[in-house]
Amino acid sequence: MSELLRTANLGKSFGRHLVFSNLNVKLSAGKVHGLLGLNGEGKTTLIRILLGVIPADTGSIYYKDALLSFRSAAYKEEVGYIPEDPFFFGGMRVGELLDFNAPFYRRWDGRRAEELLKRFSLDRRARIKTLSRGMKLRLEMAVALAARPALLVLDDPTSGLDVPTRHDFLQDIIRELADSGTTIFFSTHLVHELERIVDHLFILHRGRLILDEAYETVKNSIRRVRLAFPGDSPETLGVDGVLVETRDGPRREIVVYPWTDDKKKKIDGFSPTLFHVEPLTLEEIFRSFVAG
Amino acid sequence: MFNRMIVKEWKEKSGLFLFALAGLVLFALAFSGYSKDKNTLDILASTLLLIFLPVFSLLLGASGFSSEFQDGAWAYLFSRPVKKWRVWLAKYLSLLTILLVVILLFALLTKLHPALKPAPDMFNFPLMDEDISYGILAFVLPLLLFTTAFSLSILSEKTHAVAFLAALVWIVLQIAVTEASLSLFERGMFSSAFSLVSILGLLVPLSLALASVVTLNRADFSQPKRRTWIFTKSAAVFILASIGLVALLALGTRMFQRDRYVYNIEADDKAFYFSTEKGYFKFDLAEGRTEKLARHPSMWGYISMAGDKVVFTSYGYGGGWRGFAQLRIMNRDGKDERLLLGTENQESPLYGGYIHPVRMSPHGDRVAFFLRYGPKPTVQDLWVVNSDGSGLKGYDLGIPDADYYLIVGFGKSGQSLYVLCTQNIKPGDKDRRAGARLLRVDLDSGQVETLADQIRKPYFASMPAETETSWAGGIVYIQHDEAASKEILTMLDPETLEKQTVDIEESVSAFRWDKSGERLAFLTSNSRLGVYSMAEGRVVQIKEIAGYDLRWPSEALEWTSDDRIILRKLEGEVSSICFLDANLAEQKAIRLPFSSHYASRIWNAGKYAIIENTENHQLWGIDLETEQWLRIY
Repeated sequence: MSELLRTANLGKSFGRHLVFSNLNVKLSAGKVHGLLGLNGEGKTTLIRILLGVIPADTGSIYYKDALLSFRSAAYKEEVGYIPEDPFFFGGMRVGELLDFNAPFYRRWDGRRAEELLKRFSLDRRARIKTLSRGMKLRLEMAVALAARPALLVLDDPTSGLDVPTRHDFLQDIIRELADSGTTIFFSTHLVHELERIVDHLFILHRGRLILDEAYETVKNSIRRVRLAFPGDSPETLGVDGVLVETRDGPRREIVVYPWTDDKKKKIDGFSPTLFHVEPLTLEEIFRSFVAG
Repeated sequence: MFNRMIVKEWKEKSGLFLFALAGLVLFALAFSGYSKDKNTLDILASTLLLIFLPVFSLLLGASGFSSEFQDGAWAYLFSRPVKKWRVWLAKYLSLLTILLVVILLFALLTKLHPALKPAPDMFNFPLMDEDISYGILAFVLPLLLFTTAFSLSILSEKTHAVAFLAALVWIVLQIAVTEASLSLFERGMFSSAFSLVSILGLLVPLSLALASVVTLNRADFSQPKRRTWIFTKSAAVFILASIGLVALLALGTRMFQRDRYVYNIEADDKAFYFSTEKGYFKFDLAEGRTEKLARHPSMWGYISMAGDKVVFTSYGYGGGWRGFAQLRIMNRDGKDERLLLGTENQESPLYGGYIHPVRMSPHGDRVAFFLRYGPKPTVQDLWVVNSDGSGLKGYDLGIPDADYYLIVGFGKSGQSLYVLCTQNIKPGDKDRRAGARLLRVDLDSGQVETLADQIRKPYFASMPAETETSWAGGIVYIQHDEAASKEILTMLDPETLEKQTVDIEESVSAFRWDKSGERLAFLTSNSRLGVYSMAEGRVVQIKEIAGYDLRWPSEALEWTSDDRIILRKLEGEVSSICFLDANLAEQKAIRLPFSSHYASRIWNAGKYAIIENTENHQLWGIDLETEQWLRIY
């Protein structure tokens, strides 16, 4: 899979507060990348750096193998951005926002913009400030897609939306875009949103990427193991990759990543009376990673 | 992108624009309401110019990035595929269109409002002399204030705080530049002082604008402190670089040096006296030698002579005298040079004033002068002092809105003084310039009498040399004839108030008495040279002349003592001094010893015709008998 965007040792601080350091992110063309993290972990900061909105303190960004600087602008022709808050210029009308954006993009597709307005039931003459949050999100999407981006960056756009709208948005639009070859970089704290669409998973925690893996791989190799022992639970199971561990007398529960046959054999050696292995949902995976 | 940005900014700033429109309506109503009260109109027009437009410019500029800050749209804007400096430029130009439209509307208001008509220029602003471009205040000041505020607007979304900060920056800048230019001014570097004000006045807003662009390009907008720090650092670097640039420019061009000039000229049959930035000089006509009479430098030094005395002004460039004017007196040979009075004494009614101009009475016993910028805010009074320094007496001429006084001369008896007074124009004044007035001041009683008004080009008004002729002491000036709508050359006998006028179609642009005071040579706006005979009361010669340098008409024309007229001719690189006979035919042309395209002044003193090399501040004299050139200064 060809690489669209890559960072090398990216670092950022706000005053004395280190947001992240040595961050290496790779976005593969045509994939949906999910960026997960608790609130305040630096997801928005990372996105703003990738978009050239704020500068990084250290590190480099490459787009299609070309080194970008903070002043680079040309690559943004191929990058669509849907921010967290609908911060549109309130006084504008829907059509005016499209017209305002059109001259920025050489690949702007006016016909597509009109189609998207129709598809999203947006009235060109409506004032933006009168739109609901869901409609504003659709408008943001229309603006971003009319520029035919190779990379679409979404910064937690679905927070505050009702469930059906979120579902429509994710299922109908994001998947459709990804299927048509657009690379998606999606940040959210509503983790379960990503479950059905994500291809690759990043988890940003305490200034580091603690997970950078294909979702399929993670899903297939992370397991929750429920154990019970005849007497007290052994002091240690001797298994590495334990993300979460809870004990309750003879009972024990662990989340292991990656789960392998070797680890299974090792635990078998303790002759547990209960040995139940089960997969995790994305939300559980996320919680397991950040719990440590 | 620019078109869309303009639409966006116009929509966002519609409130401010409406504020300007409301101001426009209010000013229009106020102009109508006070249409008969010129002083109030004056205040209103000044308020419009000095308060309303600057405040509007500050608020408009300060609101530059406020909308981007308020709703976080800066991130959205910067994520567009466009260089950040182009975003800056597009916003700047977009807001500039609003500013220009507002200025244009106010310009139209002041131009078209019946209470202010006819306006002297784009703006009918009365504070400035018409020689100063109104554009400086009407356009440049709002533009610079707007640029400053716009540059600072990247620091905060609080429009009023940014506007206040921008105003503060300007106040500090004004104080700094004023102090620096005053310091230069007091050292005789007048042009440099003006250049400094102009250059720094432009460079500082430009520096802030560049700092703003750098900040935009480098700073993290989510960190206000860091953004402010980068801006401050960049602004300091650019401002220091600007100052360095000015210093380099000054060194390279030797800009910051005392102004050079050849100024006030007086001549008698024995010598030619003149002042320069280095002091006062006398060129002895018999010996063909120049000697320095007094070292005292002066700001546009004035000399006046009568009897065996020469009175002159001086201006201290250093030490305790720095910045203070003096009136000094000496014998014609430069001996017995002493201080008559000074303006350095805080108790003196002349304290801190500027002596300008000065004239000695025919018998040399009294000296008259005007004082500008004295201790009272609007003192422009006439003062007379005896030539031994005693009997200082001030006269209030009682002219409302007096702008400038010129001394034309003393009457024959020395008891009366003839002065010209210009007045400030006010909105609604009937004419573009009300014209100067010719006043006669009785020095004993202090009585002031207006002899003539509507005088144009008052700086040219003159008396002939004080020779014993029937018209000696006659005053000549250019008066505007409203009925004929033209300027007429008028000669007035100040004793009898008998007038003679030169009746020609075109306006007169300059004139010069002959040595006897019998004839007056004049130049017209159609490049015609004429001679008016006082005895015959008519124009005895008038002729179109071509090829002569008439750019400085009042100084381009001179009589020789044998009644020929001197003009300068400029043919490519070759320059000549030409002598015209009684029929105004060129009799002789003698090539100048220097080459310059600058306009030159010409004088005659005894057997010498003297011409200034204005470009290099030199004086050259030609002995009319031997036709030998001599460098006088």
